[in-house]
Amino acid sequence: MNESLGEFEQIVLLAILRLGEDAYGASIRAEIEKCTGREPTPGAMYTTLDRLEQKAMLTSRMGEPTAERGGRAKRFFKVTKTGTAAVIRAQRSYQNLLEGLKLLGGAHA
Amino acid sequence: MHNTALAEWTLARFTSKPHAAAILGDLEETSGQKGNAWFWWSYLRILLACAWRPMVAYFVLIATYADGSVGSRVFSVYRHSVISHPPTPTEDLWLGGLLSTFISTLSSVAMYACLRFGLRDIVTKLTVAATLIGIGGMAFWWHPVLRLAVCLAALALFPIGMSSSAGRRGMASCGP
Repeated sequence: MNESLGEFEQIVLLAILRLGEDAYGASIRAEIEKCTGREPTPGAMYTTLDRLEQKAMLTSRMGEPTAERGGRAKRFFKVTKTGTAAVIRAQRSYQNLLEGLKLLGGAHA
Repeated sequence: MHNTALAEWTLARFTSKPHAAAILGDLEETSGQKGNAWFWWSYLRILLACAWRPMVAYFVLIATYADGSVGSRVFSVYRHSVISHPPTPTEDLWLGGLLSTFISTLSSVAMYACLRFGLRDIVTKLTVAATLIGIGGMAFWWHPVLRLAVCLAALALFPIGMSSSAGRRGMASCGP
């Protein structure tokens, strides 16, 4: 079944795709803040990550503990094929809606 | 460095221990730039996001189970609309006593699952289906064919439940 994605789910998935192998909680939060200019709500971010993992759009693995994190391990995230397909589908929908509109200074093709 | 053993333990009650440690590690790492107040404010928001569903679901479970009225209401409707005679001792024991208690329990668990896991979750769907089958079982007890159909539907839930539980085993998360 093709699950639809909410706006914040898309943002989280895109941030993880951008970060590649280095996608974990703090880096995802920082990437979202850098690209969108808004700080994600911490609670919303972790519940979204868990929800996306339950939907099989993400996988996670634990890394090694580091001193700067108080001896705690990072939880690294990776977007699955299902997740990538869902992002592409959502972005295509946006592109279709934008088509013909003169936004961002010109018509979208 | 924050003294976060208690904070981590509390968060781990609502998600898994490694996930709670990773979240605290993320906050620890970022609080170097953002400060102590940000650390604790973010922690409280994460705790609230992870805890509200289980807490609300737990209180609703206790409240609905303590009320225990669903089964007895169904039995009351059955008693007044389906059976024309006063209930026999057997009907009173099986329908009024055991089955109505069973339905009350099931409906409480279904309510808990709706709040805890959301409507799309397989556990929610199974418990809601089991509750409806239980109510159907009571309502159609007098009809041999429908009674058999209800029993078969109840049996069909077992393999579905067993196959879905394998996928959920070991799952612990903040999200619905």
